[in-house]
Amino acid sequence: MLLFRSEEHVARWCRIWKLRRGAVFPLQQGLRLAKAWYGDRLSPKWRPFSPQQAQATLNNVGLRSAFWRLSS
Amino acid sequence: MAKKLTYTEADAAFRQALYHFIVTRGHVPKIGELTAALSRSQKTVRSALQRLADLHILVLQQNTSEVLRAAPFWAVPTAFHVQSAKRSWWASCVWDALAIPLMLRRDARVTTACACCDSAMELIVHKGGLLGTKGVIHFAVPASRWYENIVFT
Repeated sequence: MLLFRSEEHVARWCRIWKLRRGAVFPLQQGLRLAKAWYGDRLSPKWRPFSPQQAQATLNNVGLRSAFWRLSS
Repeated sequence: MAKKLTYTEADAAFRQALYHFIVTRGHVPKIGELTAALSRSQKTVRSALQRLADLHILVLQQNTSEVLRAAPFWAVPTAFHVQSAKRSWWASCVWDALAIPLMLRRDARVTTACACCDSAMELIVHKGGLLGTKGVIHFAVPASRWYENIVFT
């Protein structure tokens, strides 16, 4: 998951590396994802996500398309 | 058929100790540092690390079995440097870089660069939010394939 100045820079990078464009979203959404995924990781009560919990965490921050489906 | 591993209380206690080390010392420990800090044998530490790796909680370095990734921390220098007060850490991607201050509940400065043009970028996390930062995140790998090669992802 890389950081770019803009969508134009993503497009240029994909052309350079001959890669398909994946999923692009704003930093603020990335912040919400990071908080939801890692926010409680230092708690002694933390336990690994089940696949269902992991999927729900992605969905809850608005990442709901097929790209974000954990099981194919 | 391989037996499915279950995350145990012993795994949780070892993981807590590992993360305590990373947070308080500002780096991911080598096995030797962990054995000294925890007063455990190298064999015990290696076995505990391997269990956490098998549970997809850690990624170990291929040749040495040292810790490479204790998410969101990375053991070796990367393009994402996270500074918070007097401590700093490395993250392997922007997701993990943002996660470090949020997990620690501290303000932090992420120093990095645009993956396309290499121009410097700085992300300031303050009180759980981002201060006036422009930029976008690109995920190249669909979620269903993240764990095929987590280092590439």
